[in-house]
Amino acid sequence: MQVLVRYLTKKRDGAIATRDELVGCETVNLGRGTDNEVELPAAGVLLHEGVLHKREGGLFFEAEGDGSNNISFDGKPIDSGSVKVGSVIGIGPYDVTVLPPEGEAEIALAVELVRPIGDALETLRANSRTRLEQSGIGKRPLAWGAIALILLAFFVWPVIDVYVIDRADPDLLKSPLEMSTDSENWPLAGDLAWVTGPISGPHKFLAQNCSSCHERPFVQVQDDVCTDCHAEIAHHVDPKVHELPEVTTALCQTCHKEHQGNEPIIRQDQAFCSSCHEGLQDVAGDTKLANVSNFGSNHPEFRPSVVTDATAGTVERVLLDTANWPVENSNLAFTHKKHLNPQGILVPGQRERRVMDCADCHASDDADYGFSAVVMEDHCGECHQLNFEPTVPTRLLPHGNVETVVESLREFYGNLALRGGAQVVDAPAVVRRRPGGRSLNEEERLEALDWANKAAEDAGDRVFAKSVCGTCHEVTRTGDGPLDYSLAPVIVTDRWLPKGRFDHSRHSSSDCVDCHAAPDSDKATDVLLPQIATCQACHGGESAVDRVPSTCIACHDFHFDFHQPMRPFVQNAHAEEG
Amino acid sequence: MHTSILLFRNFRYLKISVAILAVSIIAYAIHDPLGKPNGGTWLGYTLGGLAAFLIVWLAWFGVRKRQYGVGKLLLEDWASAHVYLGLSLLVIATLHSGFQFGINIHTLAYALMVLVIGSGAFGLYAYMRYPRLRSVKRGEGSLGDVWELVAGMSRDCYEIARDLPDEVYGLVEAADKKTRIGGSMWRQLSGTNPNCASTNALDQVRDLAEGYSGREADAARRLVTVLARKVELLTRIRKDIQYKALMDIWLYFHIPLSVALLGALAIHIISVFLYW
Repeated sequence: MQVLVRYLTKKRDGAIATRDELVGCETVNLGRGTDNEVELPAAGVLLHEGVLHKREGGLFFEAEGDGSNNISFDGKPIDSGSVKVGSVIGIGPYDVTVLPPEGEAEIALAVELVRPIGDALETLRANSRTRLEQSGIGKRPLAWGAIALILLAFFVWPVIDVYVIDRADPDLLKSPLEMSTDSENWPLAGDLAWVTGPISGPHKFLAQNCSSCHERPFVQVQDDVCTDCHAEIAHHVDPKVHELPEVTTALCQTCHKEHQGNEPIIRQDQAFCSSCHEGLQDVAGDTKLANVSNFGSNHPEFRPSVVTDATAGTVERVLLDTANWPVENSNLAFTHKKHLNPQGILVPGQRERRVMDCADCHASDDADYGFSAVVMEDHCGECHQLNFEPTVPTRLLPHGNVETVVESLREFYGNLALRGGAQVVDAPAVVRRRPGGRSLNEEERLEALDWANKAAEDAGDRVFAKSVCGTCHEVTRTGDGPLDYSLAPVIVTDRWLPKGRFDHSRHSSSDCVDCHAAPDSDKATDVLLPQIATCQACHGGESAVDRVPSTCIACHDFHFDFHQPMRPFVQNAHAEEG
Repeated sequence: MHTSILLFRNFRYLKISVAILAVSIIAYAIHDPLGKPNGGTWLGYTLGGLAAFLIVWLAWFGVRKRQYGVGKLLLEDWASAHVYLGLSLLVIATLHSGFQFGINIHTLAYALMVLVIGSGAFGLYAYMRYPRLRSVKRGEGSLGDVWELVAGMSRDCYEIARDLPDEVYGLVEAADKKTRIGGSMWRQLSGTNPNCASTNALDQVRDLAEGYSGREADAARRLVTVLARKVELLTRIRKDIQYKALMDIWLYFHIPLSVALLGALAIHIISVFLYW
């Protein structure tokens, strides 16, 4: 039979071009391959899609292959069936329409590519994304997202946390909404992100509550925040004497820098002091202080506060000058050499000689970095006993002033005379009578008191002489009357270097005599301080490499207790008067 | 242009940057503040102010480059200064910090700045290196021509495979319809495609062809030849896409991080004075 195959091609302008082919065959094969009567050479078509053959009563289309064909009949997904004129068999992208027989052809078919799958170039372009902008991730959304996240987390939330949410009254009954805005229910205090550095060790207990110091926004931390706790902090210089506003009126935080990590908030650096003290005349012209810039290389010799005249109460700062060593006149007679005799010293009532050492008298006092005061009763009294009456050797005089001693003597002998029972050999009978007998008559009482006065005066003369008080004290007779004595006032130095601080406990690895030449001191007037060279043998300045690096603060305070508190500030007296 | 940015006006902006750095470093070395060096001393505020100004000015480059013929300076001036002053910012901001870092908004701002400068440095490297590699790799004409070549090969494949069994033709179809160039950001950056339909088709057709004979074997051999050329061409295109992606990807860090930095910088400055 003859089959007319009419290939329809849609042109660009919409017109349809036709190409007719007349094929002679028994059956009509349709498919991609060139061996088909109807060639369908497009993607999506199998090599052999099916076959159209005549049957009784008409045409029949039968699909071939494994059933993966993409065939439809008049739009229905059936792959085999009878075909009439007007039927449309869809094969892949093609529609094959059965036309009425035409001319010599028994069967006429129109073939049109109605569902083109697209050009290879367009397909490739459609599949591909070759610019990053096409990947769906944009720079703008990323940028907005990032800045929004940062603003929310590190500004909006902290501001709400600090200035909106009420931290007070946690016990108050709250609605769920209030609960949700209560910072205690939040995992993080927002403003912690603002901390510029860890708060210093002593202030760490404030670390969670920024507003305890940062009271008002955009205002520097004020001094009253500091003086809430540190009320006693005193001036470096007396503002009434020195007009140095940069020292007397500076804010606390000028020097005490917080949030510097675990650094001490107290300045340790040498330059902090030396910036003024290496040329102090430029800062305070009338100063009596010597210049200093470095402990190891430029620190003046010590000038201890020496009692140069205890009688007049004179205390002077005297240079430790080898050629002209200071002399202390404390009005106390004492030599270290005698007491530190390596053979020991005699102790009353004991056969053995006792070898003394420094700690027998100088007890360390950690609170004051030094030693507690030497107390006569505690440290001297065991040997230097203040007994006065040979028949009552256990009775001791109080260690006090002359009046107290005289009063004690008169009381003792008056009591002894009136009570009786005295063992004194040359005392009258009334004094030596057995106690507890009859009452004394007036005459006997006068006799007893007369003896008591005499005995007290005799004892006083003995006591105030060399043997007892005079052993250590300068005793002078002040008149011709009985018991007219006076003792030269004694001033014992407590702090030789009151503007410095020396912690003996931290030098316990050294012997006392390494610094203090006490064993050879045979005069009470010796000042047994070492010169600065002794310290410098071990300690150097801040940047010392072969000594212990030591800055000013190691020995000196900045705030001196003997000045008035820095806050509230009291105006310079000179300025007021001027 | 990349070379001219660095050499521009006989290294004028390099010289300016070196001068700023020299002054900053010497000032830092001489400066002896109370306590540790930090952003709160007079030098700290000075360096911080300079760094903040530079950051805002450098960011303004993003605005300036979209304007044409504005101001006295050429865009090349801006680009050259952007590179050198941006790099010097690394030193200035570090000196401002006094080498104090922590877990806070201040160090976050610093870290963002370092990332911005780092991504910018990569961008500079990419602009100096990859354009040259691209021109070498492309060889034959513009990218558009190369794509035409690929499409033409796909068409050739259909033609050649027309009488070959459906399983081969299916592979040819897949190679045409499913081959993609680039794709996701990562795919573009990797410069490869491990599931390329064309490569897959080439491999399988090669295997199938071993069982053919006669005309089929002849067609299959021609098909393998064309597919192989297509795959080779695709590989080169993907490499080219990779270079292009590398030249662009740093901006995906540089720009958003710059904007984030501006936010963090503002919070850094405000919070420092809020809690003065």
